[in-house]
Amino acid sequence: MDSDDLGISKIADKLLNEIEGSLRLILRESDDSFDDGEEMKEYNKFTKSIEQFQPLPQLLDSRLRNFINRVIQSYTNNCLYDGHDENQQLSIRIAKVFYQFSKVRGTKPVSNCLSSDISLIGYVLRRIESADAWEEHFFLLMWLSVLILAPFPLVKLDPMLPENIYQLGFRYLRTGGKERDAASILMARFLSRVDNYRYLDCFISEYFNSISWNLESNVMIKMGMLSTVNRLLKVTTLDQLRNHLDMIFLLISNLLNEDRRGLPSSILRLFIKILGKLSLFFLKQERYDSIEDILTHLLHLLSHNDTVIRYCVAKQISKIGQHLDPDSRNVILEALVQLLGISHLSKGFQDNLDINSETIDIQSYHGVLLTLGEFCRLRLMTTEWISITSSVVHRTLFVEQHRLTYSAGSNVRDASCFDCWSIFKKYHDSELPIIAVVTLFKDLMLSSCFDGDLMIRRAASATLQELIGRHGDRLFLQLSIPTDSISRYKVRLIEILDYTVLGHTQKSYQLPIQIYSELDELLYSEFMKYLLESGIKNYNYSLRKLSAQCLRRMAQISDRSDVNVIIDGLRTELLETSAEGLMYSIAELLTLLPSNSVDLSLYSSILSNFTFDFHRDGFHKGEEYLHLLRGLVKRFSLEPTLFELETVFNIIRCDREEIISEFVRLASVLNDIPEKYANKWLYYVRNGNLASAKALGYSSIMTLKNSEVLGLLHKNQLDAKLRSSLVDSISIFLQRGGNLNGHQEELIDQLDDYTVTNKGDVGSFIRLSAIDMISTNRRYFWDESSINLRMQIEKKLLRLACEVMDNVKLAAFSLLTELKGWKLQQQIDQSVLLHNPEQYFILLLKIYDANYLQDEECSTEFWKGFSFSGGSSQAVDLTINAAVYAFLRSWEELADTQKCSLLGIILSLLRASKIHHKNPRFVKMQTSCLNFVCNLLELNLQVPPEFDLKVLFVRTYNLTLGTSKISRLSVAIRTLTNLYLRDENTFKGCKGRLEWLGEKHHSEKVKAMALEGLKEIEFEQNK
Amino acid sequence: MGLLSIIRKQKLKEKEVRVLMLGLDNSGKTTIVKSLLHKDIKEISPTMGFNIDTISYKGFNMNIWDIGGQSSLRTFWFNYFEKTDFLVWVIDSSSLQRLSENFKEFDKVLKEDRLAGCGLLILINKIDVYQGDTEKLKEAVINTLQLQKLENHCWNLLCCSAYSGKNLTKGMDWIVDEYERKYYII
Repeated sequence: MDSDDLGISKIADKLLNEIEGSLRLILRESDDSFDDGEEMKEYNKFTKSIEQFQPLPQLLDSRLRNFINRVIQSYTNNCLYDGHDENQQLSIRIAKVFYQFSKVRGTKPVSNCLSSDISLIGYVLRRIESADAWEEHFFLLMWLSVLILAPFPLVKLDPMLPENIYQLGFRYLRTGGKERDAASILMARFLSRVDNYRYLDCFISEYFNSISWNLESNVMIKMGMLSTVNRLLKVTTLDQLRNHLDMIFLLISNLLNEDRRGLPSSILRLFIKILGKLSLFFLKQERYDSIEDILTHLLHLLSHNDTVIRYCVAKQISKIGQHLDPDSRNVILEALVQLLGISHLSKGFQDNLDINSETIDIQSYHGVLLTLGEFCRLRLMTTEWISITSSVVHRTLFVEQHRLTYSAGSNVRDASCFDCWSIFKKYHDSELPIIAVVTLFKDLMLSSCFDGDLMIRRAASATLQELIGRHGDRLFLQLSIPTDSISRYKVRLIEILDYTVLGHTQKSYQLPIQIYSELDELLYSEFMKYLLESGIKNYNYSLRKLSAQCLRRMAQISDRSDVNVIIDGLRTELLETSAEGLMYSIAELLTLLPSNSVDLSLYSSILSNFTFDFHRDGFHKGEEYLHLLRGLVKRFSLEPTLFELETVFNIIRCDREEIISEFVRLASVLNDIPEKYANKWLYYVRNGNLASAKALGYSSIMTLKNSEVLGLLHKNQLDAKLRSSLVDSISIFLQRGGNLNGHQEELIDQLDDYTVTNKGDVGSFIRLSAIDMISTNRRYFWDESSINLRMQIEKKLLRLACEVMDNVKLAAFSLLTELKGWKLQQQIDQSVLLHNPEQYFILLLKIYDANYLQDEECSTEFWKGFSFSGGSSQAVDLTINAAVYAFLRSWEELADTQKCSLLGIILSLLRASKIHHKNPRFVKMQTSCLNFVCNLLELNLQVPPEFDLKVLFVRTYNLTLGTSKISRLSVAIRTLTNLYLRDENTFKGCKGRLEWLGEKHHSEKVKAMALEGLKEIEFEQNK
Repeated sequence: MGLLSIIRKQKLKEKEVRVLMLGLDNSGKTTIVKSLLHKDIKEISPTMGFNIDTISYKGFNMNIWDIGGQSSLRTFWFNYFEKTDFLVWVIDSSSLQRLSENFKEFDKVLKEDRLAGCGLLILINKIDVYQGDTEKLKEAVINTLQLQKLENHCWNLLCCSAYSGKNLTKGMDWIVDEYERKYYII
């Protein structure tokens, strides 16, 4: 049951009550006055409610008749009769309500609820003529289709009535919309009446001949005609249709013979349904030749490209089979199996049918398997045919056809599961050959665990539930499971093949291990065989890897497998075929062998024959090589040759995460790197190769060439990701006992990297790596003897803890807390920063007030960071508000002297700097800081009277000099305006500067902003 | 056209009803199924595993999933609840001291999302050997299982005997009627 089904099941009663309420208003059932707008609103509510029934429309049934009766009642009371013309909006709305019911529940069940008061026929006919909306036409045609079922000749009501209905029905059959569906129901019911045989003759003879058909170019009309005939065949007797059957059949037959593949699916589907029904009429006439012709057509269509057509054909063929005698049924089955083109098919179960996944016609197989499944579901097969079907399915459960970028065949596997499900559900133990049961059980277990498609894994497990639940006792006895263990096997197997677990490929590949340990090695050899023969060489790269890992674990848990023998086999196969996946599997299995127990010469030809073309080969080929090489180096002391190193450096040119991680692991076990490759390694780093940068920390190159590596950190032209990887590598080098004494400050400076590219603040990668490096190498960086170093780190972390980026902020704050040993009362994590950032800033400011308020150096760094959170254009409103409000709270708790000194520090950041004025980070910091201060002023920050705010005016003034940056000037204008409004005497100069900017600045935008500021001043003064 | 969607489509058309038999151990679930299938009920050992049986009744195919009631299996029940139409909860009238245990398990099972909207038939089994007032017994079960508070589930409670067959067909009738009421009135 999917989530939609679950949802509607839970709320169906509530929704039905809502619909009930809505209808009361829409259908004007109360005496209240009516408001068109309100009714429209209620209608929209109604559609929302009813649409929720789409997944399980049957849940409407308990109230459907009542709803439709009320629809009819309201329409009759308000719209049907002459003089109801003023209710046009209402009539359309009622019709729409009816259409909504039909759309969700289907036309047939809804039409069955319509009333059959024949006295209304005339009114309904007249109303159809005058109505404009298609919904109303649809509703009235449907209603008319019920009204005309009157049990006496229609001419008795009105001599012209049959003619009028026929013409009306015909008119609407020609339309393209939903009215056509209603018209076809009306026509079918009309033509099925015995008193209308004349019209039936006319309908069939005029339109069901090749000339009329070919003259008619409109597909809609053709569909209208065909759906009428399709419905007609359902409701009429053989006697009524006897004279027309051939005509219909001939037309369809000719059209199928002419251009079967060129017909649109919508037409073809109706052809198939009609052919299915015709065959039942022919059966009554014992016209077996015609049935054979129909079957021939259907069998041809079984390989159609459209799945819907294939399924439709499967249903019709099985329906025909249901009405035939067993011998004829077997003939159909033989014809079906012939379509599969299998040679040497015998009557018993065969486990070695010659079915080549790569060459079969997928559509044809799918169609045939669906039909076989339908035959099983309807219990139309003999034991002999069950054996044949089982033999086919035993092979098709694993069909996969490889195309250039994907593999086809999941529909064939799906249909194979359907066949098995039908067999196990519908046949008793005594009807099923035990060998087929056992074989299919094993196959389905493999599919459940190893199929790459989630739906197939679940389909296979659903099938296994039926198999185990219905035939479990017999199956497990056959598998020699002790009688007293059978129940346990049944339960545990179904438990293990859990619906949710099967939803994850990785988890489902772990299931064989669980089965092995919990169910006494059940199917161990089958799992191993599958993994070795197919799994580890799977077309799909990730499945291959998962298979290799599963193989290793399976070999590890059991002493039934000789790992050496398996490896020997795989190695031989690798040398012969070079199949992808084998090298990876060998590498996985080698980890199970004792160290240095392998004859390395056996691998020399594998390694030396390997070539890798960076431009052509897939990354997985290289990944496998690196995986194997690492295994051999690590556990069996292989020393890579120059050729092998060359290959490695060729492979790592692939910028893939998988290659990078394999190379990193390889680097950790490589002891000596020849000078040539050490240089090559650094050359790669210099040229932006991520794998080589990430792996450097594990290599001896770091010891030999550390100054060169450190030099690379300062090369700003190198990609930030690469530099961050280098920082990571240095961190690893230090962790592994590397010595970089004297370089601490140089490394700590990485906390100040603010590289910005078109990808944004990429310097954050480096800052994060640097935080991580300090965190994991505390003894190196947080040395008690070096107070200066600790001071530097503390200052920088303090700044970073106030910054805009959450991950940097959190990492810096956490590290600082640990280094300082602060005991916090509340835990700060990602969710606090996301949902309650103000809480974080309050805590931060408390820490600041308690520890750093008097420390000018630390304070300066702190406010540098805080300015970004409180005023950066990059920060989101949530962060800015949180920082500013937290500041205002903390401000209230400070004494005036503290406020003065704090404000002094903040404003000192706005001081012009000859050294930094071209540094983009400094420029940004000043703009953010000014914005932060401006935000505070606008929130009416209470500045102690002894603090001279003129400093702010002067610095703001200076910040407007020689710049055309709109962001900075706009904040400066806001600040100048605010200062002037605070005290126009003290800040007279502000207005002067605004006037200058408004008149003389070269940017029109700045001029406009300044004038806006002046206008605000004027407005406030005039208040 | 996936297998799972085919199963769903056919289920309604062919009047296939999925019934899950649950209840504490030794409540008589398997005996009820065997009795309905007219099989020998004299010797039935406790169900440790699970079995599926199909009973054709009034044109319906009832697929009954009988799952062992031993306490070790209780967590396992939740794996089966896909497209379950009815849950038959069997209570042993000869061990009423386990009623509260019944409630705990019953409540746990009903909280399972995949059972939303399914019908509930509570069968008080072994009524042929019950000595007390059956009406009072029913009331006690209704109160203990808090059936009156149930939302989204239609429910019925019957006293029955798997041994004598008493009320078993009545239970089946209720299932069929409810199913028709829900899906087949049109």
